[in-house]
Amino acid sequence: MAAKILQIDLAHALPTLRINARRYDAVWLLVKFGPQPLGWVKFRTHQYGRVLAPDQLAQLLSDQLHLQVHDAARNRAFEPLSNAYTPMVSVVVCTREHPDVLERQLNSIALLDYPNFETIVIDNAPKTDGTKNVCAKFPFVRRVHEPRPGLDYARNTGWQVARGEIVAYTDDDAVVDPRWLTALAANYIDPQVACVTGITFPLELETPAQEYFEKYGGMQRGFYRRVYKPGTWSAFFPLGSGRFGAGVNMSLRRGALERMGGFDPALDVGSLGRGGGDLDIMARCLREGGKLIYDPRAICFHQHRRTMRELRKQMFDYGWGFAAYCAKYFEDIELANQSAGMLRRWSRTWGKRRLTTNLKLALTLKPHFPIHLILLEIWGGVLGLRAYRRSVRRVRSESVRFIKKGLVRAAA
Amino acid sequence: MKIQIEQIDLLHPWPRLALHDGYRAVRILIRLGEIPVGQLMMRPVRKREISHRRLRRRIAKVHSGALLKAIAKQGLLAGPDALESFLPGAWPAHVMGRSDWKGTQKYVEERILLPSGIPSPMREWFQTKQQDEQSRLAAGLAPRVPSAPRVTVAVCTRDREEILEDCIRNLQQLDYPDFDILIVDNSSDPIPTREIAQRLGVGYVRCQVAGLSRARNIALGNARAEWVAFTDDDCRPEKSWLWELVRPIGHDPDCRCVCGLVLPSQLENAAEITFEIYGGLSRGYTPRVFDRDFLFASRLRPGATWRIGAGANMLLHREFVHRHLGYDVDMGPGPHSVGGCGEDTDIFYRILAAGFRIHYAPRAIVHHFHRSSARALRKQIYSYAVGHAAYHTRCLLKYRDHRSLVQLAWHLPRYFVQNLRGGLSGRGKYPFPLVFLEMRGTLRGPIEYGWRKLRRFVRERLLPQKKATFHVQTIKHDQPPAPPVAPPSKPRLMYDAHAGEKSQRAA
Repeated sequence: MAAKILQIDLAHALPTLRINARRYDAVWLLVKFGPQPLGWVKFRTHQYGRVLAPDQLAQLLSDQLHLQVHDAARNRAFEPLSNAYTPMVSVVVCTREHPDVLERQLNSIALLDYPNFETIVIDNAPKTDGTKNVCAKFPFVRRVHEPRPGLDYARNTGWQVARGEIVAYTDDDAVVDPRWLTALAANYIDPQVACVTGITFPLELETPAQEYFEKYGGMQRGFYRRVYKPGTWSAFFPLGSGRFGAGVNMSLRRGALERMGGFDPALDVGSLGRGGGDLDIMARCLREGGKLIYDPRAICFHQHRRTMRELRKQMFDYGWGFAAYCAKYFEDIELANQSAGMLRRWSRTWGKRRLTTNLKLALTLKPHFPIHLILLEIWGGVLGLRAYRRSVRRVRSESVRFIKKGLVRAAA
Repeated sequence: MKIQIEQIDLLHPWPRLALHDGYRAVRILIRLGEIPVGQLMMRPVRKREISHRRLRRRIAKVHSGALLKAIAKQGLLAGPDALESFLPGAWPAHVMGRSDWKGTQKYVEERILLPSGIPSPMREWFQTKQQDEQSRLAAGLAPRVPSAPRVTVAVCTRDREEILEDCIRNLQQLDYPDFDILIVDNSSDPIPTREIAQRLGVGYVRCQVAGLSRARNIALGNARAEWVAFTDDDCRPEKSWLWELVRPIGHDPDCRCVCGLVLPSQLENAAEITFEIYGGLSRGYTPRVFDRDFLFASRLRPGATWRIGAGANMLLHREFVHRHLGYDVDMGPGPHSVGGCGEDTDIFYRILAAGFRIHYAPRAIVHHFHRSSARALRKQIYSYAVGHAAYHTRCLLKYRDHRSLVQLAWHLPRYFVQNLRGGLSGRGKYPFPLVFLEMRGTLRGPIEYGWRKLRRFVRERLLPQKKATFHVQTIKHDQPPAPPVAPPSKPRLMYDAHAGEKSQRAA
């Protein structure tokens, strides 16, 4: 079970696709029209044989994406992105002991077509010299050492040392599209915009674990650009903030980060919170009065966990992190009168989408997402509810230790 | 009640649509040049005329999706430059389809469906493409499809000389460059049919024993081409029929069968209309590819091979059927077989199970005259039910497909109950008196199939074999027929394309 990921651009003539049918049993065809991604066309390899002629490809596309094609053509989405507004952007890659994937990511950053950016690699609590050696190969990279372990410590250091007006975060296990920064930065022309997120596609679907993760929802949030306006924050706070995007493809205005006091070190990987730091900062951006834009033209590819073991851990951590992030706002008085209704609505939609649908599929012997992973996520959520308080206590006691050791920089 | 049949080509200005005397409704085929988009039933209440405004609204409501799909496909094929200028813009930038289906319909109604034809850049593109093809064809130049193999069009006929001649004359008008026509004569009296064949100069083969499966086997055995297109004597194919049928072959080397769209050519009485409501022979307006996964998609339901196509409009690969021992002569219509349409679904099953693919090409259109008397219709629907049940029995016994048992024991009864309840409560449109007929046929099917097979077993394995003679008679072949494919190492008794001995004995 593996799927091949291919890309086609409708701004060029339709190609003849050749598929290695022996290795892959499905093809996920990412269709773009200029910079705009339109959607996926998925088919099984042996449904069409080795070679897919343009005629059949046009049939497939018109069957599955005809409305998107019409839409993109009428709204002239194929036009190249404007280079009118190019503020200075700091690309921040937080990494901890993944030199091989980091090199891949830095290679893709070297190909960005944006004129005005700097690259900062935050080397988080390193044990070996791997990251340092990789960064030495790329002269444009500024490596910053962050001794405190934790993703949100690293992210905070990132915006503190950044020189750009805008800070774009991405992960070391991802690869960015050459037009990524252009698409992100074009949205900041409106001074109200505090946060812009993008779409994240799978880099590969070689194993069942990766395919399961992608079918579960993955990191895509749709192919349409969405603008979330400041007055609407309460509709998404805190439960619905998953739709804004993911931390792998996220950019913020540095001024807004300064105003909000940065990321919460009690959340996300490395702390007891285990996750949710990106959800927290996006939701807070909206709440503090900034606009949030989800723009699918900012594309990045993420390599999902390859083994089932890693996927199990990830699902558990997702549940845990989400619960920890929600627990942060238990005592928020502004949310008191609407939280019960929101919880009810959210649990209905979430439960229906995840659990009920997959149970039904399982009972009718159809392919479905593994039920034990869903239960694991729920169980993680139950256990994670109490994690936030402990995490805050841990962060406080740690900070004393960090100050004693002299690990905290003066600016923080 | 009579229903008028009309066509609207969206590339040209729409004609005035009025009901003729005696008709109460009109069934309109909507097409975009050669592409059928869909059909529409309209019943003007007060006036006899259908206004273009009303028609536009109905088409937009029912066929927006299909129309946008057809246009998108042509735009994609035309290339990026065309796609950019192809679509009429200047519409508020709502997002189509996502949440605003009403807006999409309105867009189609006001921007695409103009009574003078679809708007300008698109129409010109379509028209130049059409003219291009026609001029190329007239000059006898390169084919417009990837491959244009030689095709034998086989017409199996039985005692219907009066419509056969018309059918053959129609077939001779086809614009395909390389095809020949073969009449397979299943009649009780060979003389009139042979005369027609001689007069019109087409191939003629006599099938002594009545039965459609036998006739088809003989057609496959005597065809001079590698691909055999089947149609019936009551069918009128369109001019570009063969072009559209062979189009998928060039793309797909694993294609062994192509099916096309069968539309009613008239709906003049209750029997014909009822047959259309019952399901008819058309299988939709979207091109599809069927493969092995379609057949084995579910563990509880058999793959719906009966939804693939109809034997009245079908292109088959001769070699494949030879390899797989031909049609089962105990299935299919005829006095010596089970009856109904089980023989086609059986071939579809074998093609898919062998890992090959079947394409459904709705652009290959055939107009079919349905049975016009109530008695014939009842007989046909009964035999369809018998054939369907026999097909499932065959799948169960021969191919060991347990899902067919589930279909016979659970899905079919449930379907009958549904149709009965719908009909009795007045909600369903299905002609529910036919359900009893279908139930009887379904009960009869397995018994009939078992009886035929038992009889064959007793005659061929237990009784002594008679000496046989060759009884296939072929005339009017300027070339010798294609050499028959070597028979499989272990000859089975089912296939008798060249072995006239069996047909002789059964006679």
